[in-house]
Amino acid sequence: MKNLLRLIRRFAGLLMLSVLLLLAVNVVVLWKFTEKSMTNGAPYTMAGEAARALRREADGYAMDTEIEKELESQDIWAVFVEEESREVVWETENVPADIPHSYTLSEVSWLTRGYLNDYPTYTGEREDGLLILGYPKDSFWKHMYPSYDYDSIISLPRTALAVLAVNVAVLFFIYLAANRKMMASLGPLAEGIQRLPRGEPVHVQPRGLLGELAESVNTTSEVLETQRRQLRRKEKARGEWIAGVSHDIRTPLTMIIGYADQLQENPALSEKERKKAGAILHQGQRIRDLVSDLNLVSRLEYQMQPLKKKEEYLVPAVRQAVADFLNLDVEGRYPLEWNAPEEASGWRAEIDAPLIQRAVGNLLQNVRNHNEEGCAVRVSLLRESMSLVIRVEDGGKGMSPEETEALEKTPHYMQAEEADGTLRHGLGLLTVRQTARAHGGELRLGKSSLGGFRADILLPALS
Amino acid sequence: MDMSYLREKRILLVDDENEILDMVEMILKEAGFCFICRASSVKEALEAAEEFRPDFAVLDVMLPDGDGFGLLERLREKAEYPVLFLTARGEDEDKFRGFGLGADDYMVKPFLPKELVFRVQAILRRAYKEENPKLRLADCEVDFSRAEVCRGKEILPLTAKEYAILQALARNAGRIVTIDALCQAAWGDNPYGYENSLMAHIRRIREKIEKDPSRPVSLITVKGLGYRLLTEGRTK
Repeated sequence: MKNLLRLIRRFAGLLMLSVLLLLAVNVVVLWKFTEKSMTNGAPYTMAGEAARALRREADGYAMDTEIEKELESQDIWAVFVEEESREVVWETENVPADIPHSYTLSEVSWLTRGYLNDYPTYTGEREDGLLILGYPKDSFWKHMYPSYDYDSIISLPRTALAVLAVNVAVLFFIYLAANRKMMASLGPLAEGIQRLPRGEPVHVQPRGLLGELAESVNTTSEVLETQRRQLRRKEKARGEWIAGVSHDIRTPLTMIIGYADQLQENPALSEKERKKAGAILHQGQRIRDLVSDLNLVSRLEYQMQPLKKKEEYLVPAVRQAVADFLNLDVEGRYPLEWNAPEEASGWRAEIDAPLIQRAVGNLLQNVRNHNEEGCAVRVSLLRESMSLVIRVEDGGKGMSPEETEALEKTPHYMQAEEADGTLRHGLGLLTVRQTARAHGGELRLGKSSLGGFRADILLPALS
Repeated sequence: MDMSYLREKRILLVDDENEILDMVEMILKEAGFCFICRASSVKEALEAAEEFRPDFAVLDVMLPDGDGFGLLERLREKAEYPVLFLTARGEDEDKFRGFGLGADDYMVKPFLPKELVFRVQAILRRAYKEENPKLRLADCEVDFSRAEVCRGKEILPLTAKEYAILQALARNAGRIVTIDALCQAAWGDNPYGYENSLMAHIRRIREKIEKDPSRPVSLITVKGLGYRLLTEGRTK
């Protein structure tokens, strides 16, 4: 709607500008046009000039030849009336027959203002008389009574402006009235189009001038809605399929792991057989972790896992994951350093604590998976400007910067559109990344100062 | 702690997979439990509960004629005894539902036999306390029924907080218990702000249970993380 108002404002501005421009153009064109045709002052000037060009000679009066030619060329006749006798003492040759040779005062006053026998007449004054020029009939139209109230002349600019304003208002009103229907259908249409990208269902009444457009918007909305529904259904089906498969795998896996563990510890078996059982157990556990991670990843990916985030202290979840890791490390192959400043106990973040605990557990599990012979581990809590960082690093094999970069950039097969068999990180790391992202954070990988691999979970800190 | 008295407890196993029943039964028998009854459906479980009168039940969630949650409710109508869910359903909602119905623990398949045994023992220990439960440490014995530490002839009473902390440690003997979990046990609250108080209590507990409190051998600090209680027979 905001855009629509802006549109109307813009149009109104444009209209005003157009009116002003039109007015200016009109004035200029009119002026240019009348400049040529309006010879309003010319006859008077001509009369004045002719009066001055009339010479008094011994035997009467004579006109300057040039002026005389000019008068003749324009078919103007001229008579000179003497001051005292009011008789015509000089005249041109083309004076019509119906022009009198003597004049009364009232006749003089009449012909000065207007016409003589329908000839528009103009006068040039001299001390000894009056020169009258007679133009051809219908060559000029003269105002006989050109007098105006002085006040109305003074207020002319204001009046003109008011008239202009009324004109503009009338124009705008005509525009509004003409476009009322268009505007009425444009409003809901604009609102509908704005709602489309937000994924809301849109229905615009297909009425008015833009009815067809409204129908197109409605169809687009329906198509989008159907596609969204289908996508959701597909994702849900995929997620549920994964959940089902992982559930079904767990029962046989229970027996593989359970019996392998018992065989591994059965003193009646030879060392070699117990080692084989240990390998079965170890691989069984890997499948278990994979299945469990796959399930979590798909639940996060397809938004089947509602995040139960709340404002909490960060330390307990991390500490529990570390304690669980150490409790499993009965042989002490992974000496762990806990590195957190004292104030870290007070750091709070908006978290789903079990998910964060699981993410840290996954990073620690990764250390174990990639360094079976054991290595030093350090878990740190840091603060980096607006983020809280959980850092898990080890002194194990690690990775080259190229490998780390490849890990960072290559999408996991769960997310890739095409499988190309390149190096991909394990599901464990993907669950950590997704968990971090679901919290508005990020997973950052790199090389540890201990020599091995380093993973940072960055979470937005609460002030 | 001597837990032989727990082995007399009668255990009901419910799972629709016979092979799982075989395995769990074997695991528990090897751990010393000898009174075990099996059922593979809700109907069988209800009948067995009637006749066998179990002290403890291990239930699967997905059963051919109903689910474990409903079964638990029906079992609880007749008698109160601890229950552990052992299921392939590992989603949080399922766990919360199980705990919400009053289950004592929830384990997701697959599991390690040792873990199952530990959890069963822990549940039974909590549910059926020994008349005179005693915890043997390197230099003393802790009598939880009297809230006392016996060191030779000397008897040192434990305060309520010391008792709660020591019990949380004893329940997880040999394992690291985080600072947060201990504060939770003692104050039932968020750990933040209690860490210093916890350290003070640990110091006082050491004065009671350790020969040389500055060089503890039973109550070990795991720097920054928590504490570990080593019972007799276990070393660092």
